[in-house]
Amino acid sequence: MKGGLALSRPANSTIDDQIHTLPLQATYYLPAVSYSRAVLHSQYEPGQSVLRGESIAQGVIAPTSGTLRAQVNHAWPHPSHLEVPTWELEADGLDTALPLAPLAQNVTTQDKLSRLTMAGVQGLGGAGFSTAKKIERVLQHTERTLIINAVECEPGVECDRMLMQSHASSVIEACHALVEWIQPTQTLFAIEDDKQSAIDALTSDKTHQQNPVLTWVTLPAVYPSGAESLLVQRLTGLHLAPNQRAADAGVLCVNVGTVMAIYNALNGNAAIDRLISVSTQDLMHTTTLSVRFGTPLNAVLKFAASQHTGLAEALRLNPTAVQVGGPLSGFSRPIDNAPILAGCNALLIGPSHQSQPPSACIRCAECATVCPANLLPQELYTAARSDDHDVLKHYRLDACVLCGCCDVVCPAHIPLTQWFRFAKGSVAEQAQNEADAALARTRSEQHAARVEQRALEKAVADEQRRSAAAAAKHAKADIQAALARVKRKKPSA
Amino acid sequence: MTWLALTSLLLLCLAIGYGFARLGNSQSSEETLIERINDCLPQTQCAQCHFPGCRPYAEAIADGRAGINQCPPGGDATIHALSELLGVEALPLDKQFGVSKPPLVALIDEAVCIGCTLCIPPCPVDAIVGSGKLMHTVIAEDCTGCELCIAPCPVDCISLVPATAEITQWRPAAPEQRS
Ligand code: SF4
Ligand code: SF4
Ligand code: SF4
Ligand code: SF4
Ligand code: SF4
Repeated sequence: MKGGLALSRPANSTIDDQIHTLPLQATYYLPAVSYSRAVLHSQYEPGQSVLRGESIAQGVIAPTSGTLRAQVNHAWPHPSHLEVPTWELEADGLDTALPLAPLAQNVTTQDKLSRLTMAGVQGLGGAGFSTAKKIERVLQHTERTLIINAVECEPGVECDRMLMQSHASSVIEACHALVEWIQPTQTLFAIEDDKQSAIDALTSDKTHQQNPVLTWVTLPAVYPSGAESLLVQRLTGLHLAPNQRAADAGVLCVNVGTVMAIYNALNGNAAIDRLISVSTQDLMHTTTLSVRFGTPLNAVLKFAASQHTGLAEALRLNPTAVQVGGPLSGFSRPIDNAPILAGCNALLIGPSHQSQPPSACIRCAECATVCPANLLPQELYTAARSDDHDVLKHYRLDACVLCGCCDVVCPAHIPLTQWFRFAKGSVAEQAQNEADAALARTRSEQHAARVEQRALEKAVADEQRRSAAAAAKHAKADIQAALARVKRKKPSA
Repeated sequence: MTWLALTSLLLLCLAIGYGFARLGNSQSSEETLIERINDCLPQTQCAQCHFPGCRPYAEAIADGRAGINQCPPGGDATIHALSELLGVEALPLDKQFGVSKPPLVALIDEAVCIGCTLCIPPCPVDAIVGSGKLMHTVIAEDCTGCELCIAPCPVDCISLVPATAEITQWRPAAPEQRS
C-alpha cells in the first residue's frame, strides 16, 4: 500500500489484557432505523415479550429477554446527532434465549443464509452490511477467494487482537467452518505485524496445525490497511470499479469478529454483542469490553471506569463528551444513553482534539503523499468546495475511503475528510434525484401513452358504432324498399 | 431610449439564436434537443410551467415559445442546467409560475376517503391506487408531489407531506468556511 500513516500508541501506555463482560442492563435501546438510515418495519407490538436472539426487525435482535415498549425518539450514535424512533426493551432479568438449534451439516445454502439474516449477522465494520447478502453474492462465483480481515489499524482499537488471543481455538474453528462452507480457492488471513501475541496464539492452535488451510499475510501496521477496498486490492491485485464491491468479484472479505458471529449463528447463537475497546483520548489506558447491542453508552463507560482506574480518572475529568470510533475515524458525542450498535468498535473518553482554524491550501501535496487510495485530496478539496460533481468524479471521489490521513498531515488544518463526506452526500443526493426523475418520466410517458391509447380505442369504437348504425339504417331501408317492390308487384300478379 | 431597448432585445435574440444555432449544428435533430432539455427537467409533471407536463415544456423551450425560468420544482438547479445546455443567460425563477418547495408527497386520509376515484385520472404518474367506493391510497415512491390530485378531491382528504423523514434526508454538512 502506498501512503498511509504509521500510527502507534504512546510508548508507556497500558493495555488491560482481559475481556470484561458488562452485566445485564435494565433497559436496552434498539433503533428502528438501519445505519444507512432506512426506516425498519416490524410486526412487533408494544407490550409483547421477546426472547434473547429474537429478530424484531431486519438486523435488529433482542439482546436479552424482556418486554418491548412503544417506540420513542431516542439518542442515536450517528454523526447526524439526530434522534430516531427506538424500541425500548425492558429486560426481565431471566435472559432466556430463543431456542435455535445448531444447523446440521447437510442443510442447504439458503437455510444457512436465512439463519445468518435471522440471527442478525452483519458486518462489524460500521456500515452494517448484511453478511448473508455478501456471502450470497460470492457464492455465485465459481472461483472464490476468502480474506479474513484481522487488520484493525487505528491505535486504540484492540478488540480484534483481544478476540484472537483470548479465543484462539474458537477463531480457528470458526475460520475452518467458513472455509468448509465457502470452498474458496485460497484463504488469506490478513493481520498486522504488531499483533504478535494474536499470531502466536492462532498459529500454535492444534486444529490449525493439523489442517493449515489458512494462509497468513502479515502486513506492516500502517493505517488504514484494513479498509476493505484497499485490502482486497493489495492482497488480490483486483481493481474494483466505482460502486463495485469485492463480493461482486468473488472475493469474500470478512472481519474476524464477523467470522465468529457467522459461526455462532450457524450453531444457534444470534449476534447480540461485540467487543469494544475503551481508551482515554491520549491512548494511555485501554480496556476491552464485551457489550450487548442496545446497551446505553453511559452504562458502558461507567462499567469501564469500574474496571480500570486510568479510565475512571479520565471519565472524572471528562464527564460529558466521548468519541465514538477510533482516533481518526470517530466522531464526538455527549455521554448519554444512546445505544451501542454493531459498527461501534471503540470509545475514547474525552472530547476529540480541538481542530485549529483552517487556512488556505498552500498546495504542498502532503495530503497526496499519504493518501492510501492514491488520490489528490487537494484537488478533491477544491472541487468539493465548489460542489462540482464532474471534477469530483474526475479526481475519483468514490475511491476515497474517508480514512482521514490527509487531515492529519495537512499543515493548513483543512478538514479535508469532512469536505469529502459532504461531497459524497451531495453526489449521492443528485444520483437519487436523477433516479427519481427517471422513474417519474417513465411512468408519465406510460400514463400519457395509455391515455392516448384509450382515446384512440374510444375513437375507433365510436366510429365502428357509427358505421354499424349507418349500416343497420341502410339495411332497414333496403328491406323496406324490397317490401315496397314486392307490394308494388303483387297487385299486377 | 427606445432604440437602446430595441438593440439590447435584438442582441439578446441573436445570442439565443446563436445558442440554438450552435446546438442545431452539433445535434442533428430537433428531437434530440427536446430530449436533452427534458433531461434537465425534474419530471414532477405538475404543469406549473403552464404546459401540461415536462416534455411539452421542453418542446416549447426548443421552439423558443417559453423561457428557461418557468419550472418551480426544478428551481435554480434546472435553470442553471438549461442555461448551460442552451448557452443562454440564467435568469432567476419567474415567481408568477410558483416558488420552489422542499420535496413533498401526497397522502390520502384513508378514513375520510369516499372512494369516488376522481383523483385517479389527474395523476400523471399513476401513483394512486383504488377502486369505486373503496379506500384510495398513494404509492409514495411513485408520487412526484405535483399536487394535481388535490383540487379534484370532493372531501379534501389529500394533503402534502414531506417526501422523506428527516433522518433519510440528512446528509453531512460542509465544514464551516472560515478560510
Ligand atoms: S496538505 Fe493541505 S495544504 Fe497541503 S496540498 Fe493538501 S490540502 Fe493543500
Ligand atoms: S480521506 Fe480520502 S483523500 Fe484523504 S487520505 Fe483518506 S482516502 Fe485519501
Ligand atoms: S413546472 Fe412541473 S411540469 Fe413544468 S417542467 Fe417543471 S416539473 Fe415539469
Ligand atoms: S398522487 Fe397526487 S401529487 Fe402525487 S403524483 Fe399523483 S397527482 Fe401528483
Ligand atoms: S378524490 Fe378524494 S375521496 Fe375521491 S377517491 Fe380520491 S382521495 Fe378518495
